[in-house]
Amino acid sequence: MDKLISLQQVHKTYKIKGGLIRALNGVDFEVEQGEFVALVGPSGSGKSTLINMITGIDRPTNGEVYVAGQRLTHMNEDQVAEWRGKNVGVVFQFFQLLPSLTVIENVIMPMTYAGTYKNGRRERAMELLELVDLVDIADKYPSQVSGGQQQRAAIARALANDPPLIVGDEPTGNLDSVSSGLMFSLFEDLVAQGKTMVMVTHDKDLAGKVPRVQEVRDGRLLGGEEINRRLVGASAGR
Amino acid sequence: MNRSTFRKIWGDLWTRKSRTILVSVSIFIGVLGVVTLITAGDLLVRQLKADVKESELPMLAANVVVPPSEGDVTLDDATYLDALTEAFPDITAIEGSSNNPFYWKLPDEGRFREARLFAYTDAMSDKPVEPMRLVEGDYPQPGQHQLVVEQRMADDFDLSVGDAIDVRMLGEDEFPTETWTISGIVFHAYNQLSDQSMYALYDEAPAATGVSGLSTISARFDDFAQAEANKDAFQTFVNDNTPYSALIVQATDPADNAAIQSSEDFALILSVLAIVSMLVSGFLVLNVINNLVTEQRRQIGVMKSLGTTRGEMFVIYGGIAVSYGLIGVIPGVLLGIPLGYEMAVLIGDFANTLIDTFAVSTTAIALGIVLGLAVPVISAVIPVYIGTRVSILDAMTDLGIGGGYNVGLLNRTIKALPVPLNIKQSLNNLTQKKARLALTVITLTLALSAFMGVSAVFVQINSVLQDILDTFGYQIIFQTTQSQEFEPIQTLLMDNIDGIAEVYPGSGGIVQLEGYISESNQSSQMLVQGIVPETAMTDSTLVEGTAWENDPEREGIVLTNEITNSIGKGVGDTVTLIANGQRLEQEIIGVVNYPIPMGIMPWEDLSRLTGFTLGAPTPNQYFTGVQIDDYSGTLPGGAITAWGVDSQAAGFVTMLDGSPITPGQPGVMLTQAAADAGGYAVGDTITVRAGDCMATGDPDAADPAVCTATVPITGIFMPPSQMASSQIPQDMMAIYWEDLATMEGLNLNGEPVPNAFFVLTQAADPTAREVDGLIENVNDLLVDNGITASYTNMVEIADQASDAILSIGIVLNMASFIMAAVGAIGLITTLSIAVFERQKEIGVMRSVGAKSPTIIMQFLVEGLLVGIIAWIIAAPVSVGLAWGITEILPFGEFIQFDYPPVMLPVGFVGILIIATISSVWPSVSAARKTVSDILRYQ
Repeated sequence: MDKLISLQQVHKTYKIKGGLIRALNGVDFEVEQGEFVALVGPSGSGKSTLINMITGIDRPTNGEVYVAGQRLTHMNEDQVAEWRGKNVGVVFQFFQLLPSLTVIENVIMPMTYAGTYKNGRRERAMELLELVDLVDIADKYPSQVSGGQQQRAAIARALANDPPLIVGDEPTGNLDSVSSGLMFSLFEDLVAQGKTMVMVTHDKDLAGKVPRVQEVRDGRLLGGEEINRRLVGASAGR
Repeated sequence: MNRSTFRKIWGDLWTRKSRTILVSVSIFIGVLGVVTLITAGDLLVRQLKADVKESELPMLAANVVVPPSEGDVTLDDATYLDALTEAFPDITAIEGSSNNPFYWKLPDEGRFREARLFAYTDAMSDKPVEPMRLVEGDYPQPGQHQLVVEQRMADDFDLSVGDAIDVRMLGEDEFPTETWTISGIVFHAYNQLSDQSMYALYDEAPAATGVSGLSTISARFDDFAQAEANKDAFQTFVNDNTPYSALIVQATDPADNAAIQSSEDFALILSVLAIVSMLVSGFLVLNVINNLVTEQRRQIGVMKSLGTTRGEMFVIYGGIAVSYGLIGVIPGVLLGIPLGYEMAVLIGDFANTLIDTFAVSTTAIALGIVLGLAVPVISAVIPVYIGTRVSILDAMTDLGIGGGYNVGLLNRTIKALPVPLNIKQSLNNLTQKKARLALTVITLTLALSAFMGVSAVFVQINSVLQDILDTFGYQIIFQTTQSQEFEPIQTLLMDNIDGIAEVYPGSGGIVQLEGYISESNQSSQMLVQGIVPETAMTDSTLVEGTAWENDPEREGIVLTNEITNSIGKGVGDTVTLIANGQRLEQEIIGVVNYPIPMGIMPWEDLSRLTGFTLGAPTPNQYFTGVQIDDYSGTLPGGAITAWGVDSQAAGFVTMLDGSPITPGQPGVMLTQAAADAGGYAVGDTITVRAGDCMATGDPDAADPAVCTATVPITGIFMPPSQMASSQIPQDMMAIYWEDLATMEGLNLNGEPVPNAFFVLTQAADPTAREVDGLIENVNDLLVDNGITASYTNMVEIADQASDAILSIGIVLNMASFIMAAVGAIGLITTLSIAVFERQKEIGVMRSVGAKSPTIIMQFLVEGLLVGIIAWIIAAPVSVGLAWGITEILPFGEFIQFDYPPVMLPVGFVGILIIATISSVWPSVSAARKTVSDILRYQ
């Protein structure tokens, strides 16, 4: 398989009043196209920073980031935004639908920014909403629908421009277990259709179902065997 | 205030430095406006009240002239004034004054300048009305060729006590130049022409001006009611008992002095604009504090959970508001004091007062401080009250950007709009925060209304001025000191001076219009402009009738629409004009739309009505030669001296035989010498030939029915003793003067003469300087021909008026600019707050592919939408404001309110510019936010 994501010796340091925080410390990370990867780890370990490196939301202090054939470290903010709009679908923990737009308008929004589907944006949006079973609430505002529906709408939005990569930062973190299970099934379906999925999660049960789990700790990636052992141990101890 | 409260206030101010600066700058501008504008108005009114005292103002002012028909009369002004005092016992003070043009220059200058020379029947040091103050030197001494100069003229021309000036002596033959000395500098607050005024002794002024007699008689009465009651009688008394004709008598209540009233009104406008600008600042503070408490909901929740009371929170947020106020007030007051003084000096120039000593207005300072501190605190009360009502649970709950979004009818409507997504998003964002939208819109609406309203008045005044100047399209008006025939003047100028396209006769006068009550002075008097109808001197737009368009010879009057509306008449109706004791019926032949209420009529008709005529026979002073058939006396060819007498004189002469003539019955009286020469006796009939019937070789040239009369001799009379010593032959015939004039073909009222000459230049659009040059040439030529005149450079007047309007416009526009600035800052602050609040939204937009231009456009569209909403509301508000300002302005009564439509697009463009400029910073600031910055601090 081709490498869709390649992080090479990525360091990220934040300056704060008290000194420096090393969020990532020489991370090498590769993801093949069509992989489903879960990033796990305690709070402050660097998971979200790593995800932000992949989406181009944040820049490394050192190292290189290649995603979908692009060297993100040499692109400016607008170039990254344009690239991200076409190549990465981002799903946030708190859904982050724009409250001033209806559900379908939220889905149309990325197409407008990317200039895609100029003659059939609404139709495309309806297809995606059908995919996530939200056709009935297409014209409702986010505040009028449930959290689970909002998150599914967020996934539809992430798929708007048919990106090869879907990135989720705790996409099920704010959902109940039923909604969470449905959401995960949706992710599995997307991967089955050829999308690449990288998500951060604290949910060990969920992580246990993901083919590849990568733990982040103190800004470093731990080896895959140790993680699997922990996950198995965690399941057995329950 | 405890240490932690202070630290919290300081922390909030310092952390959000940009917002602190914006709000404080807004308050600074508001306070600056309050202190500057109120100081200017206060100092102006204060100075005028110090200068113009109610107890020194006249209650009646009669503008008087000696009509040409009076001929050369010896004036005894002191006697006339005494007679008036006797006739009107309620008069407490009376003064006669003359005000005429005269020519002066500095000794080293080549050409003379025109100025006004004032002189008074009372000593300058003891003027009973409108006294002057000696600033330096002494009043003129008799026989010393001295004069005093008004301080403002002295300042303009750098004249000092002891300076010598050359004066052209217009009252002497050949107009010699004499050296006069400036004996003193005076300040004369009541003089409206202060920057061109000199003062001489009453007996000496005529030698310099060439004009004898009074220009104005001013009187004070026990009270104004008496003055008003005696106005008409005063005018009648002057007309009947003095050689003067009182053209206009104005009763003015000293308690309602126009200058003070106008200044107070103007100061009121400034104060209102200043306070409105402060209120706009207040809205901004309200907006900011409202957002501050919304933004700090969590903090408020935490503070509450730690036991902080609402009172303590009021102290915190009130303290923040006071801090905003303090930061703005201190520089606002400090800068407003000198600015207000400078503005007062500038306005003072146009309000005819002199502010030459730095002064402060404690009222303005106190108001600036109080408003600067109170407005922010009061503005903070409601948002703090509402903001601190939040429960701890609510405050601590954050559902992300999707939380708490209201979906109402408005949102459903917006959803249905066929507009692009970003505009929909903007509309929804705006309507989501309705209170904020309302506050921002109010702020901008106030600012924009003020801007549009003030500018509308400014545009309107300019337009009115242009109408006035365009209506009579001449560049020079001159009025000769002595009445002159038109044709000789025209020929003289046209033949000798290059650059003159045409010279027209004209006249101007004040007449009484029966049934008309002027809105401005509650009198029936109306200005009438005398023109030459067949020329293109008027281009006023006729709104009714055809005036002289098809028939230049047509008799009638054109009135402005304000007058026709007032008297309820129109074209085809007849009006009665009264002047100089005469009544004249005139048909209304046109109605024009013109800003000043006035009438327009052929100049000859007006001159006749107002008594500007020459050559009218005067009874008892009317001597001419006639012929008696078959008579042979002292004069050759059957001629005899005819004496035109009235019934009074006929009754007084000593009759030697028969009886005096009776008016209306044919008859003549002869002296004994004439009776002897002709062999006539009482009862004989003689044939008298006069005028065209005399000595003409062509009998058909004359109408014998008019100039020949066969009349009986009614009596033999003895000539008055003074005639005996004159050169008049002793053989003489006396005849009723009107019969004699009729036979001679003379108009009993004389021939009209113009009292003004209008000059059109060949250059289509000459500069004031070019017109000045032409005036100098005209003046030199006329002086060389023994004619003196005063000149008006219409182009210069237009320029000066434009300058004056521009200055007033600068002041008014400064006020509107202040509000526009405050409004713009309000929008910047609101959008900045929106940017802060919607960081998550920006982050999400970026994360799904929005580039900087998209983000910028988002906030720009929101700013523009707010601006457009403000414009929609401000447009009608500005119409009302413009109307109000026009009503208050000193010259408002001359302006028929008409909102210039151009203000609507100007206001629209203006708000787009303001909104764009105000939105750029927050928009760019939003676009510069990176997703990682936003997400990191969530």
